[in-house]
Amino acid sequence: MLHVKELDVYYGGIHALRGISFDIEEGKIVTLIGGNGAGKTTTLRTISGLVTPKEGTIKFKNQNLLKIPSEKIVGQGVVQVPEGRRIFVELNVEENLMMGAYLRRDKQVIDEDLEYVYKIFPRLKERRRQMGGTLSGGEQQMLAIGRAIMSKPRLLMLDEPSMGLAPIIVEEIFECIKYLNDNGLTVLLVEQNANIALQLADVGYVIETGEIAFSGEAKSLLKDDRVRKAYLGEE
Amino acid sequence: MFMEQLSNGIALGSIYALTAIGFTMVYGIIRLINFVHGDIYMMGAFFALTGLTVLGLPLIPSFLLGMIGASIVGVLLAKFAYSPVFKAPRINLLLCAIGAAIFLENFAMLVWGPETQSFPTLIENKTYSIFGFKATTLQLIILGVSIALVLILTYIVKYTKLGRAMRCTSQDMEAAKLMGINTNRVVYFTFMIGSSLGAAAGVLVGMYYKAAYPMMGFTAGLKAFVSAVIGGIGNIPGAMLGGLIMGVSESLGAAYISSGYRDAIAFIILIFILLVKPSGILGKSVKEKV
Repeated sequence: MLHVKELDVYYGGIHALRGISFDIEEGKIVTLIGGNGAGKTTTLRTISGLVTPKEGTIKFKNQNLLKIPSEKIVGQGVVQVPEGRRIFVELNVEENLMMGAYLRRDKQVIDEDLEYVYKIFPRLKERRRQMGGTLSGGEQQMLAIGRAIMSKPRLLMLDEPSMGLAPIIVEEIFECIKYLNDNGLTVLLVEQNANIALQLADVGYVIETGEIAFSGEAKSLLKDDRVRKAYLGEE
Repeated sequence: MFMEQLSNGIALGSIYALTAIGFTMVYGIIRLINFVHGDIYMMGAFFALTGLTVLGLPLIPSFLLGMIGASIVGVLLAKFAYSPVFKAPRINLLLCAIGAAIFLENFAMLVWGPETQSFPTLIENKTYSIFGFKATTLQLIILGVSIALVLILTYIVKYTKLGRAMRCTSQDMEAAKLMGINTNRVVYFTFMIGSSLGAAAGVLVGMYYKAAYPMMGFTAGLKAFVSAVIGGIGNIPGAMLGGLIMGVSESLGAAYISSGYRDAIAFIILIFILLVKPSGILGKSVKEKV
C-alpha cells in the first residue's frame, strides 16, 4: 500500500534520514521503533509532505506522494496524528473533530463518522462543547485520533501516541488502534515504547540514526536479543 | 466638552480598531509584525481619492475601490515580498516588511506626489446631539462603517469554512496542513481581509481630516501596532478594544492634558499595559502542557 524507498532527508546540514526504505501492506499494523532523534518523526513528516526529502520515493497506491502538497496528501487518505497531539486548543471538541473532515463534502457520511468517533470515545461526546485545551492528555490524544478518523484515512499514521500518558490510558488508546485495525484500517505506528508497539503490530522496523537497523515480524522482534537489550531494557 | 471629546475619541478609536484588526490578523497567522500595514492604509486612501477626483466616481464605489485596490496590493506583497522568505528566520520577514513599507511610501510619492492632497467634501457635516452625546455626521459614518465591517469580519471568521481554516492556521499552521487546509491560501486571504480593513480605515481618515499624503500611514501603522499589543496581539476582539482605548484616551488626553502629548499618550498606555499584563488585555499567556 505504501512503499518508501531510499529516503534521504537533511535538516540544514544534518543528515536526518539516510536511505530509509520500508513497505506497508494493506490491513496491517506496521511500527517504527527507535530512540530519541533516530528519525521516526522525520519519516512521518516526510510522508505527510511537511518535509521535502533530498532523495527517494514515497508511493501510496502507485501514486507518488512527493509530487503532491501536504494538504492534498490528506485527501488521498494518508492521515497523520502528529506527535504531541497538536489539537486546536481554542476550538471545542466537536469543532476539532469537524476540522478533520475539512476536505470532505459528503455531509451525511460525515455525521455518521462523527457518531462512530463518539462510539469509540464516549468521553469525547460528553465533552463535545469543551475547549480542546481544557482536556486531559489522554482525552487530547483521543481527540487527535478521532480528528484523524474524520479525515477518512486509508493509512493512519500515529506519532508516539503513548507519549506522556498514564499506562492505563496508553492501554485504552492501543485497544482503540487495534479496534480500528480490526475494522480494516492500515496503521503506521511510531513509538519509543517498543514493548507495547511490538505487541500490537504485525511488522516492526527498528530505526537507528536515520537508518533501518533491522526489521522483521513484530512477534519475532520481541524475542530478538538486539531489541531486548536496546529497547526493552533487558540484559 | 467631555461629551464632544468622547465622540471624537470613539470615532478615532474605531479607525484605530479597523487598522489594528488587519495588523493583528496577519500577526496571528504568520507571526509577522507587518510594518507595511500603515502604508496599505495610505494606499487605500489614495486609491479612493483617485476614484473620487480622477475617475469621478461617487463616494461608495470610490470607497470600495480603495479597499479592493489596497487588498490587491496586500496580496501581491504577501506573494512577492513575504512568501519567498516564509521559511527563513522571522527577522528576514520583518526586514522585507520594512523594505516593502519604504517601497510603498516612495511609490505613492511618485504616483500621487509628495504633497498633501485634499479630499473633496462629500458629506455635509452636521452636528447631532443624542442623550448629551455630540457627534457629527462623519463621526457617525465612521462608527457605522466600522461596526458593519467588524460584524462582517466576525461572521467570516466564526461561521465560514475559510474562517475556521484561518483560526486553525493561526493556532497551529502545521496541524492545519495535516487537516488538508491549504495554508498558503489562508495566508493570502488573511492579507486580503486585513488590507481591505486597513484601507477602509485609511479612506475614513482621509474623509475625516480631508487630507491624504504619502507618509500618513507611518503614525497610523505604529498606533495600530500599539492598539494590537494593548489588546493582546493576534486577538481580533483585543485589537478592537485596544483601538478604542487608544482613541478615547488620546482625545481626552489631548483635551485635558495637552494636545502636544497626543501621540505620547498612546505609548504611555502601551508601557503601562506591558508592565501590568505583558500579553495584552485579552491576550492569553502561553501555557504549555506536556
